[in-house]
Amino acid sequence: MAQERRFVDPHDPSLDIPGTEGWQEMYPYNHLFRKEDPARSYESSQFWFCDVLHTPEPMKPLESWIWIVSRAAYPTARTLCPPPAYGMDRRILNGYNYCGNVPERDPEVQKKRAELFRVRTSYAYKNWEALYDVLWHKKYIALIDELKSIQFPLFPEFEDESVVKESRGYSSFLPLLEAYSKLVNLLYRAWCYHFEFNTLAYGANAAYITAMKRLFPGIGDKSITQTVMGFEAAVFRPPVELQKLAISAVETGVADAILSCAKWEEVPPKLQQTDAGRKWLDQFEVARWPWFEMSCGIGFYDADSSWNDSLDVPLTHIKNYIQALKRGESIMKPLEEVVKERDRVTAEYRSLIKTDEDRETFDRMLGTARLVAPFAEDHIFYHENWFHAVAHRKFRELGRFIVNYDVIEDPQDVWYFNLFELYNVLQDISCGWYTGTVPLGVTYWPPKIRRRKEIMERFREWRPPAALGPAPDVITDANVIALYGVTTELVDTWLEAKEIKPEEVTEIKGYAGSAGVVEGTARLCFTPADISSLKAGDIMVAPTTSPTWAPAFQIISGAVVDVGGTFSHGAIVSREYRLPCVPGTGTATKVIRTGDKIKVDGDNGIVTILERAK
Amino acid sequence: MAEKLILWFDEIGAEHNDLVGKKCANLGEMTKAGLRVPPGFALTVAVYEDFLTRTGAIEEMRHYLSTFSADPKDYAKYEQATEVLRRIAESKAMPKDMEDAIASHYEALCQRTGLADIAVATRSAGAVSHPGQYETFLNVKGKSDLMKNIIKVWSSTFNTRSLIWRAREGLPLEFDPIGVAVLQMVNAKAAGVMFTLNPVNGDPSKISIGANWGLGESVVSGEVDTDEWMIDKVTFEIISRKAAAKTVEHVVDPESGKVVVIDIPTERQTVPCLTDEEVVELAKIGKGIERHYGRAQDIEWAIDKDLPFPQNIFMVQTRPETVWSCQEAKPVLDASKSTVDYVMDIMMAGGKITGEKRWGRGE
Repeated sequence: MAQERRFVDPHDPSLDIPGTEGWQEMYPYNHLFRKEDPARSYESSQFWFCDVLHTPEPMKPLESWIWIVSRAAYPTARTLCPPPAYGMDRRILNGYNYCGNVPERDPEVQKKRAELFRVRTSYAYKNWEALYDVLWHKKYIALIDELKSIQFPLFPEFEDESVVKESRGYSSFLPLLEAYSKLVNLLYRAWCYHFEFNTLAYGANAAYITAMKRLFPGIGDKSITQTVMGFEAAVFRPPVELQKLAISAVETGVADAILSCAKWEEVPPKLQQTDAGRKWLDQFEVARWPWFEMSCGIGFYDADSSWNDSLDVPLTHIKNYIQALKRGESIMKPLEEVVKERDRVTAEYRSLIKTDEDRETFDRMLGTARLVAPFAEDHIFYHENWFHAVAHRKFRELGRFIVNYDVIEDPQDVWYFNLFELYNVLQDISCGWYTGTVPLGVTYWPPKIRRRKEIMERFREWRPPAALGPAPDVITDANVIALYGVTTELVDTWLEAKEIKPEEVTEIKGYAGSAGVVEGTARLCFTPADISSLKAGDIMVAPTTSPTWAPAFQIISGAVVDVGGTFSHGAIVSREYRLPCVPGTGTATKVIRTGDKIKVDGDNGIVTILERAK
Repeated sequence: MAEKLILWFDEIGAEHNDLVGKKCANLGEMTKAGLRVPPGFALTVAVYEDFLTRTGAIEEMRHYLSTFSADPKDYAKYEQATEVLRRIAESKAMPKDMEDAIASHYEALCQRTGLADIAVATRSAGAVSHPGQYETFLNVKGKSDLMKNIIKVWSSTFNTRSLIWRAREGLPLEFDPIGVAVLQMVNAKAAGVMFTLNPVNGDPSKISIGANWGLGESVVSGEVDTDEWMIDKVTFEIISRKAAAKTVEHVVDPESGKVVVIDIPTERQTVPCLTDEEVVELAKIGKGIERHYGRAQDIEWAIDKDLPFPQNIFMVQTRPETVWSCQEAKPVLDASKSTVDYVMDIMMAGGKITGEKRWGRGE
């Protein structure tokens, strides 16, 4: 049996995609599976799972910056020192991201780390308000302001004479390279901040879940979540702002004017004509910074863009809300209602605890779980959405800068350089400028970028294996389990899936993410762009979802997701929309085809394929 | 006969235990609590005494028993006594005034439900629980059958197990006053039991339901494998479900009017006998009963075939749960551990976060 608990080796030639030869040069060498030892044997002995939660599609070279940066910025391994593991190692394969957990097996080292972990983590929980609520928010917003201030002005024909008079000594190439370096450094800094409270938040959450399951064997994950919900968080704000704008539009009589606009560019000219319209546009302008810094996707791709960069997206949401209001529906769910239900549920469970001793432990653990819960939702807005929107805007600005020096034709081609090549490109352009010669990149890059585009096409046609290398008996990282939903069971499902023929599968198991049972037509959505293909009542089948897939949840009757647990975005949003949702299926997008009739049992975490599409 | 010897369920409550017997008092208490209980009335224990005294039955029994003596281990001898004593009781006609009073209540019940010759169940109701239940008769129709069956319930106090028990306890053999509940028969589509805790581990946050097609007798007697549901008492989420292969059910035979055991056709055996809607409604009622009585309950219920949901759900009996409720509770968490300790435990153990196996996986 032992040899069966193994996925394909990361170096196996079967993973080479014909026509992509030499793809490796697109990414930094230290983010690739290596052919040489000792790296090779380490990689072969390691279990790697494909991070489809964050990268459901292949990454263009510059899009991989996030994984280059976050891999280096994972600080908790040596700051908080979780005893059994050092966190995530990452590799890029055919444009996809693979994660491997790096364990510490020496009991002595584990002991030393445990002591540090106990002291530091206890301190962080005790001082959460100061460290997170106050300091973290402050420094994070300061970081975004700093990032926004970075500029890439074109080179002047001649430098200002102040360079000579004020003994500045350098010309504009240096501020350019400094600006780029600063951009890169801020990316690292932001990812450090992102990880600062991750382990603490997910750890406390997981500890609370464990305690609840011991107190109430068989309790549903959903019920546990209910005792923690009911807080204000940044990621809940954008939809609220849209709802407020919709309500205001209806109240001030500009709703019909807005509904008549197919694109955002039509809205301002039309609304400028009336007082009410101008007032509404002002409201819109106030709301969008920062609340429309929401990614239109999961925030990790250039194509995801942000609401602020594609105002048609928030316009669509606002129009949907206006239409709902016109149908007489109430669109805002008052927080007080959620809080009231949370308090009822919590009080009832608490009263069912049989001993005072257990009640005290419960109170303590619930307290910590509630303390840390807003982080999970807050950082999704601050980091994955706001920060990424600003960072991606900076890269697009760089693209426009480079186009001026003829190294690329289209600003969007900037995404075909990787993070380190870009510095080189800027330096090449600088030399070209002050020597009056043509940057060498003008001839070097265009054929390379064409080739890279071809390779990306091939990557997109490829289906990455769920995992590589030997399957572990247990998964030992709270982050991996709580965030990625990669559990021992899911790995078992993947192992089974290796053997199965997708067309023969009739039932898939996952988590009971959101209650209810629904039957309907399946539609596969791999990216947010696919949402437009959804028809009312469809069941969405996706590799992963994020809060920014929100428009989908207004249309669909249920959701099935490959990854994620009860706390994953898909499950949370489904519960909000009261739709059945089964996340953590592992194989749904491989087994289910668009057009299949399926049944989603969100009460039990089971998806049944009732009838295959013809 | 004094009118107050017969009482409607809504006239009695738990405090009338000694007056009408436990089961009647309970049905009264449930009625008072606003639960949907089959309508009916209770004959007080005094009616039993009245019947035996005024018909002269008790004299005859004492006469017979004056020469009866047997070791409580001698089952055969007590069987003979049962035969004699029951024959004496059942040979007596009901006194006229008693019969009239019961008949007028039965008529009132017919009127109340709008059903002529309404089918009722006659159930025994002792003031204390006895080992060896007294008898219950189902689907009794019409006044004359009702009288006969009430007498049979009374005479069931002379069944052999009860006689032996009274002999062991040194109690008089000729006498064990019980009340009788006369209540509308639920034309049960399905019926069963409900515990307001998890009977397997005593977890008070769950409600557990066991059910079979037909009347509740098959479930109460434990003779069939039942469908089972576990419901979260706080959120009413159905946490687990098991559809059993149910082979037989108790039903009223439409021709004879008798309760018979019939085979369940194969295609119906594994079909769950309750809808999710009914399961959740039952659980909600169970939670309310527990709150009313202030302790975990062991409940019997039935679902009517003809009435619409939720009017089709009836409670027929409830009593305190005794297995877990009487145990001393012990902490299940380690109070000496901090949240950080728990976080570390999880990190070290790995995979334990999802804890138990998900339902439906890996059977």
